[in-house]
Amino acid sequence: MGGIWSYFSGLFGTKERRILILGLDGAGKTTILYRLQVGEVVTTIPTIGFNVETVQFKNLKFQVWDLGGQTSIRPYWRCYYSNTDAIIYVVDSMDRERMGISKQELFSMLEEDELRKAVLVIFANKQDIEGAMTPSEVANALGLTAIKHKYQIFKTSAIKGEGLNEAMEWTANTLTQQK
Amino acid sequence: MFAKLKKKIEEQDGGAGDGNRTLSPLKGTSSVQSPSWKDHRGYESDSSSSALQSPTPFGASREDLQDPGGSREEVLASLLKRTEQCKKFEGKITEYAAIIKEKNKNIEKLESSLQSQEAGHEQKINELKEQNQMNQSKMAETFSFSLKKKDEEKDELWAKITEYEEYKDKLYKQEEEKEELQGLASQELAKIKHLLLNTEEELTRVKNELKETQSCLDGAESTVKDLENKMTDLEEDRKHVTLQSDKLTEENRILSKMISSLSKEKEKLKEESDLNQKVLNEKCAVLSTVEEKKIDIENQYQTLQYNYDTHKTKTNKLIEEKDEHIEQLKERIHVLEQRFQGQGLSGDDRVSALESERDCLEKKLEECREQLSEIKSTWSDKISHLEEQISHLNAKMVEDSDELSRSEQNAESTRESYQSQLTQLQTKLEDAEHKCEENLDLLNKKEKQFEKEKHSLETELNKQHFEKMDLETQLVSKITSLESQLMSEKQAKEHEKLLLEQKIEQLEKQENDYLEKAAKLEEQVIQLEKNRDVLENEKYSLSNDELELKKKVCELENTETELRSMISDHENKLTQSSKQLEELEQFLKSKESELQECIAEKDELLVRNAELSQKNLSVQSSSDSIINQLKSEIKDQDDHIDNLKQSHDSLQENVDFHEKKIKELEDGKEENEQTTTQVSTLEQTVTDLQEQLADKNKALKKQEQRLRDLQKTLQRELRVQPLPSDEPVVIDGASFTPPMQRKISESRNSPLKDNIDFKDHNPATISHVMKPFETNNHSDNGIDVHKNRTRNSDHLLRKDLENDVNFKYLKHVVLKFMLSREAEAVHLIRAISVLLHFSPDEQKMLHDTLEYRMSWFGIRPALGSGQKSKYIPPPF
Repeated sequence: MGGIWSYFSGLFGTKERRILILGLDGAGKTTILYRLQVGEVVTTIPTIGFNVETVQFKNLKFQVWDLGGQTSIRPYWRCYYSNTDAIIYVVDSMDRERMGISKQELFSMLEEDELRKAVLVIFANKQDIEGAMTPSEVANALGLTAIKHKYQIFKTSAIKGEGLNEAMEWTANTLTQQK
Repeated sequence: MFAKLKKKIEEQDGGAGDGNRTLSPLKGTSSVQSPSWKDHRGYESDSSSSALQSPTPFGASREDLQDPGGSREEVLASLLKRTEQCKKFEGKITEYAAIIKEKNKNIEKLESSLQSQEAGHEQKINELKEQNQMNQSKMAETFSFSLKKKDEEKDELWAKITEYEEYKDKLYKQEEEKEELQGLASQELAKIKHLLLNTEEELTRVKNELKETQSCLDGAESTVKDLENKMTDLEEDRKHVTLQSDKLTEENRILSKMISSLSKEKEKLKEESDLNQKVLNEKCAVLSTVEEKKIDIENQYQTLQYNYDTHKTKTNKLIEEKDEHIEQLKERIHVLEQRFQGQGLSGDDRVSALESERDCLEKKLEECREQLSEIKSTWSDKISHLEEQISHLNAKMVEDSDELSRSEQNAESTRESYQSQLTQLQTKLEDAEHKCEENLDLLNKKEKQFEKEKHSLETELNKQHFEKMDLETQLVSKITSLESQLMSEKQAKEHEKLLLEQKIEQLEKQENDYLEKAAKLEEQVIQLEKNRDVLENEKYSLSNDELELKKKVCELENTETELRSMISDHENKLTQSSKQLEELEQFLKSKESELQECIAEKDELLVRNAELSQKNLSVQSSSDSIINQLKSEIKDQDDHIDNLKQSHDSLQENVDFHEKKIKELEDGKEENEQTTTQVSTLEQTVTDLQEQLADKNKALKKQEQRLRDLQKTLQRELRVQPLPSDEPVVIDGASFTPPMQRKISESRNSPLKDNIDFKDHNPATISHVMKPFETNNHSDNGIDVHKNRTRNSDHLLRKDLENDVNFKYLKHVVLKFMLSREAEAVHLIRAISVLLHFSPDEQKMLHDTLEYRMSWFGIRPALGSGQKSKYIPPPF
């Protein structure tokens, strides 16, 4: 009986999409996650571990995983790569010094075979601060032209909530088009 | 003049050589010194008999007057002699008187000679004046002559200058002429250029005309081309039309293909629907089999339950029977025992015992009946319960069948939906076919239209062909006319060209002529320039000459000035000589006065002569004595001089000695300077060494600090290392302190050695060295502290563990894993297995168990049993 129900639910129901939010520590991943989920700015502490929230966007359900970005726990990201549909890679646009490290992490991540089919969304975050790098500058600094994945860069501000909806809309559209 | 006077005097004096000397001062060189000279003569000259020694008596008489006391005794002693001598002297006096007379005569002569001398002097003066005048005149003449010469030279130079100026003017004139010629040449050139320009303009006009004609031709050609282009366009249009028709046919084909593909799709869809139906049938069959299986299983279950119950009841019954049997046996045993006891009793007692037996047996019978009835009642309850259960099971069966029927209904509904979809697809297919037909119709229509259009276009094309032909013929005629025009124009152009070329040749000839003229002019100009250069060179040479002459003039002027100065000097000399003359006159006057005085004194001398003659000897003796005294004095002085010389020699020796000493001292000084420089260098080296020592001490301090840092880092690493192994205390302190101590002891020893070295070198550096030693002591204290720390390492380890990010992460992930549902926890298996270094088998076990928990049906994965079991087995 239940087996039949699950079969039917698999046929007609909507499947949850798995999204990872990655990026260096202090880029604003957790803030973005709760901004997406709750719609308001939450005070955060440095994430040692991860946060998982289910986000409903239009008629799509996303299970969003926000993984801690500190240097010592960055190697554990790869434990969460399997069955990932999309990656939101958050970059601190003010942090010009660590742009190289961010680039290294991004490229080592994209080399993983498990993320072959994943969609890449890059958030040039903290655009509300004056003197922040423009998305084109960020794209140049990260060397996005060399990426083979399907990707898109968005200028965002998690504090002001700018650019998040556009980015999520794009991801939703691309994910629905893929399957 | 002087020679005559000298001769006269010599003649007067009777050839005495001294007269020359007396007169020699009259030459005017040392007239002032003459009196002193006379005094000297008075001492030096012998008392000769020469009467010319007129001054000597004065000196002698003075000496006689000065010391008469000393000579009177001698005079008294020699009075007798003197009387005799007086007689002789009287004779002599007479002679002297004669001599005096002669002298008077001489005086007169001298006076005359004086007069003559005066006259001579005057003459000389006059002569000198004349000579001066002569000299002046001569000088003036020479100067005037030189001046004249110079003036002449000047005039010559001026003349040359004027000549040069004339040359200059000529040059300027030539230059002007040259410029004029150049101007004329340039004007002529300009004229030629103007002519050339005119001809060029004419040429350009002709060319423009040619161009215009050519452009007319080009226009005609372009019209021809346009027409051709139109032709090509029309042809292209035709091609387009044909292409369009091809396209339409292609479209037709595509549409037919579409139709075929649609039909194929339809077939596919049919096949799919068949497949779906098949699947449905299969599924229904599966369902029915599953239901049958289910029913079988239920039946089996019921039978098993039934069997179980029966077995249970049987066993219960058996047990109860056994119990009853045992009780009966016990009762019997009891009865038999009572009987056995009753056998020993009397008859009444036996009866009573039997009665009691019977009573209790009856009681037991009653109890047994009651029990039976109870058992019957319980049985009936049980039976009713079982019946209820059966009825319940039947109800469940009914429900299951209902569910089945529902599922069947669902399947039917899905089938119906599929069928409806099929019908929809069929209708769509039909529509598509209709569309296809419509498209085909449209195609046919379009083809017709295109054919019509083709016809019309072909007719148009033909028309246009004709038109084109006409146009071509017209154009050909036009072209021929134009070509004829062109030919005529070309001929005209050629004529013009020839004319123009002739003109050009003429002009070129003219030009050449002009150019030749210009070249000639230029040559002339060059010659003129050369001349100019030559003249300029001459000018330069002349100017140089001029300069030289000027220099000469300057030199001459200088000589003039020099001569003027000479003249002035001569004038000065003249004035001086006039002064001398005046002085001589004065001297003469004084002499005259002296002569007068002499005459007066002569009288007195005549009176005193006797006395003098008397005193003469005394004077001579006194003079001798004085001479002797003087000689002795001279000797003394010579001695003194010798002494002085000796002393001088000794002093010189002293001086040499001192000089040597000075040299020695100077050598010593130099040595001292060398030593001082050496000392300074040594001091510098000492300071450098001290600085080096200070630097080395600093380096030692830094190395010690590094050592300390290394120690700290080592201990930190020691604290971190024991994480994997649970025995941190074994690794720390005891095993690692010995090398540390060794290092420290080395570090302690090395500065001590340095210390000893430094003591040998310089005691001042010890204070520097002592500081590192003290710091070493500090470092020892630091090590003690470290030992204390290592003892407390367990406590610290726990703290570090809690602070470690990895530990925190692990904690976080494990907590989430434990607290989240299986579906979410599945995602964390990898993270946990990476953190805790799970093997792939363990990982798989975790995954399987989670899957098992999530699944509805499923078999628990094998997780080992007994001691190796990975899970806590649940109780039954």
